[in-house]
Amino acid sequence: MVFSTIFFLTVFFPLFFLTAWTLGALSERTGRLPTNLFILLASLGFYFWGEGLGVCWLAGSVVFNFLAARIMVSRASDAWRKTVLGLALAANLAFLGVFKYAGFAVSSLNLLPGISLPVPEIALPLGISFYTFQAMSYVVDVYRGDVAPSRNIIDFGCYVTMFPQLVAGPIVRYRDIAERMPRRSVGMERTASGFRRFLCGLAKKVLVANTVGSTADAVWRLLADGHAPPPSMAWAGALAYTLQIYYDFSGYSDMAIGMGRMLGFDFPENFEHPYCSRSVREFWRRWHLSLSTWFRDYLYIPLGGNRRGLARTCLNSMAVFALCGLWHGAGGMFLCWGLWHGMFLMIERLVRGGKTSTAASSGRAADGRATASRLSRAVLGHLYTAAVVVFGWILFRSENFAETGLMLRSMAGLAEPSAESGALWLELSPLFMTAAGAGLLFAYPVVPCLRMFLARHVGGNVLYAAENVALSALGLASILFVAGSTYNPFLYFRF
Amino acid sequence: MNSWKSRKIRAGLSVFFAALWTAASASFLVARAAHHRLGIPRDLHVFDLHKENRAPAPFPDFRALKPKDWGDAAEAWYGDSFAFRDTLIDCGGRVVQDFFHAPRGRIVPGRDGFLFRRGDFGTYDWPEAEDYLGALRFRPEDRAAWLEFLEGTREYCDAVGVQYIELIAPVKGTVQTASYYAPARNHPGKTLAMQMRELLEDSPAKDAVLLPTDTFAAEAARGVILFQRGEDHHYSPVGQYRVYETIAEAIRARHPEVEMLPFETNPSPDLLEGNAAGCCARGLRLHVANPAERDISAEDPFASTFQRKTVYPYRHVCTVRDGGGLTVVMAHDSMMRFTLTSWKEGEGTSRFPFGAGVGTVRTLMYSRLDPDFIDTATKHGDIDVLVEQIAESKLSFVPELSPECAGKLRAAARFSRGTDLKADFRGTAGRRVVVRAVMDDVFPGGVPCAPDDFSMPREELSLLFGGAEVGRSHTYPGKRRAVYFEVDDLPAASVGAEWSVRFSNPEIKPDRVSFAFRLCDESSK
Repeated sequence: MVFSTIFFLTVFFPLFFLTAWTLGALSERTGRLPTNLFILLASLGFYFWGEGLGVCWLAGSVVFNFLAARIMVSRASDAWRKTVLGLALAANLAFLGVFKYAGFAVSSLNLLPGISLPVPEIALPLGISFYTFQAMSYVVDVYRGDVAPSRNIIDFGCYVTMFPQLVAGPIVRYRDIAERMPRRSVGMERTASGFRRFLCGLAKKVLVANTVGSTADAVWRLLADGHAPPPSMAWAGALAYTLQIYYDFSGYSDMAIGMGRMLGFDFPENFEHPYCSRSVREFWRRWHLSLSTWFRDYLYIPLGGNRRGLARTCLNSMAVFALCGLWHGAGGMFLCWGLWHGMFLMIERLVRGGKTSTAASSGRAADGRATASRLSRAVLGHLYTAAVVVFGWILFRSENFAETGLMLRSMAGLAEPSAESGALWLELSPLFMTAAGAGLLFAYPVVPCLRMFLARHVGGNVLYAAENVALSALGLASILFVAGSTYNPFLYFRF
Repeated sequence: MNSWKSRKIRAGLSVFFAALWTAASASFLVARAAHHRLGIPRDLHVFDLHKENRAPAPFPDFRALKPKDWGDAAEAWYGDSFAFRDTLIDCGGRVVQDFFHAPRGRIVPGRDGFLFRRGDFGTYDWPEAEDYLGALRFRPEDRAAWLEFLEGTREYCDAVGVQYIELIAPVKGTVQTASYYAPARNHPGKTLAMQMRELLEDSPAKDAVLLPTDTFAAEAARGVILFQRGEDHHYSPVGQYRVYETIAEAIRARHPEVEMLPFETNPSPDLLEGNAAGCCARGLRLHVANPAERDISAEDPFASTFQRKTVYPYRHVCTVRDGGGLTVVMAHDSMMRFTLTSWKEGEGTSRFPFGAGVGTVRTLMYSRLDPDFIDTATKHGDIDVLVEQIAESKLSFVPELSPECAGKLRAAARFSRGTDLKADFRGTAGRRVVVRAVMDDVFPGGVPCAPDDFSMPREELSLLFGGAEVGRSHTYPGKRRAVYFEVDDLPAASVGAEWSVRFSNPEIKPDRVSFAFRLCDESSK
């Protein structure tokens, strides 16, 4: 079940939240256990709706990791805790590895001469990467003593399976919600805030991502058939995909955060206007924060981080980003995408000479005043980062290097446009232009700046009301688009 | 304003906002429940725009489905039946199509309410917009298949005394091109019709294929004629008349006596009531009246023979006029038929806008001409003209024929491209010869002829049986029948020799057989 479908918006969403709020109101005094149980069951039902009996894997992961943490703390021995942690992590990684990477691993082995193994075709459970990482973060945090293990499997199951963040993140740490799990209040302001965030995310996904995504898909379909688009359409396709992946992902995160807020939880922010970045390093401090911080806390730092010299730091970065690429998908192109970013992080570190000064990375002088040269450095940094990121997305989206090469040649005007690319002109409608323009504009912190500006000139409540009106308009437009996606006419109209 | 009051106002705004969107989200279920229990309509039907013309997805049978498929099936059903669906879709269509001019699914909006169509990328189902943009290309095998089909059919028809016309009917996407929005309008490409014209440039079938797209597009651009309806793919009454006029012009190349009924822009009451001959527009239809024309009965052998060809009940219309005239047989699709009669009106009666010179008209829906069809059609009577129509956007679908028909057409196509052999030729030096045997006034009975039925001069006997291919043909009384076969390396002096047809039953023989020989050399095409 996808959040941006008419069924979710008009059936599951109202039934779920009305029930959850009613239970929450009734259990104000007794605690949130009934509500958490309802969330758990509804989330399992949500998962069953899309995956059928695959829900058993999810339930199994919940039970396993809950017990692993309880067993880990059952003895004070550090060796015991380390052993249990190791086994738990190994089991989680094996679970993820078998389902997600077995086929890729065997296909890669078959590239070696003399090897021809049957490639397993294992159906990938929905959201396995997210909930497995979430579960692993829990057991590690328990081991480190950052959070006490959950005493209640219902609360723990609610945390892992909570449908808003189950299939597309953000990756929530148990310690972020542990305090609010047993008792929390969901007042009207929090509910309204959650609705606002949800509508914002819905608009991002439906109005921007889906609209520009159809152009990106059209361009890549052409590339997959070996046909080159004209340069203008190649650039439009690259831009479209750059916007699509951001608005799709951040839109989903916004919807998850909004729904979490409506349930009384504060999920972490996942995106901080990443396309404003002036370096790849800054990009990864703004893009998919829950994943990048997960890799930082559970892989990069345990490997030594940046504390073992420049060479080791670079190696750690490359390893982390290779795995980050593979996390996104079991394929060579994802690995290359990860290595691409890792390479530029390494280069930036070398250029910085291993400095970690934020002053150096932000381009501000010690006295805080921007000069013309710092401004031009910022612009160049922004253009450089944009080029790296956009090229990275071309790698990410393409099925193979042939597609990537054809796309790049098309963008450079070095490929003869095929006749078949003529159909792409249908994609450049005013709707696409509007969505792409809005996407480009709002990729920058325009709204926060506008809010600050308006707050000085109109009252806070007037601004709040105006925002509600704007979000309602976006919400209505989104519902029109979602409803329109069910429209499927037969050719012979009135005859 | 003091902070307490400000906080109260803000709280009130929050309550209102949360309540509004909770109610909005829940209203769909409430409307469905009210509809189910109380019979209250679940849609406002604010706009009465295009309907989808299909059956909605049924409520899923969960027992028959795997658990993993329950969700998809339920969502498919709900997606076709949620409350306010029509209103939301119509409003959304106004925003997407009318305001933003963006394609929605397969529909590409144009100016002045025109709707064009695009195919699913990769399947090319009615891709008129893609065709205009030059995105469709014949593959080499497509070109070869079309040439073989057109040349072979033209030749086969000619051999049995029938004029063959293949009409590539223009579609809205390549005619009403001024109605596209930019940038599509500014990027025309080489359409399939243009590619077909290039393909036929040096072909013997060139004169048999009608490609009126450019002519129609020029007339449409000048605003002379509105050929197609804005909202679907069918012709307007005037556009339909123009198409038949194009056919009549082609028929006149062999039969100059053929005329068209006049088109009246201010029709008289007699014409509207069918008491005077002529044509006019009447609503969506081209109204054709001819008091001298009547329907042929349903027991007509032609009608009953082709009952099995398609599933459409109105598949054929047969009319005849007193006073004789040409017999015209047409095979066409709905684009050419529905401006004459609606399929929702059942069998219906149709008249065709041909005037003097045309005596009988027989039509078939969705039937592709092939040698078997030609043989069977000519069984029922003398046919003067065979017209096949295919929509321009369907040129991507090359003809698919049975192996036997394909073999016949291949032989006929080779013959049409071959070089005539004179009586004094000196032998083919290993090159192939295609021989056409045309039998006139074949005996009654319906007996298939086989390779053994053709006798050659004694010294060629072994060569014929060793290397010749002979098409099987059913023979019919008083008819003209063509058979083609190939001979490898025909020795000198075989051309014009005493070749004949001899059947095992001595009572059976054709009255006349003419043989023609052509040297088949692919490079001579």
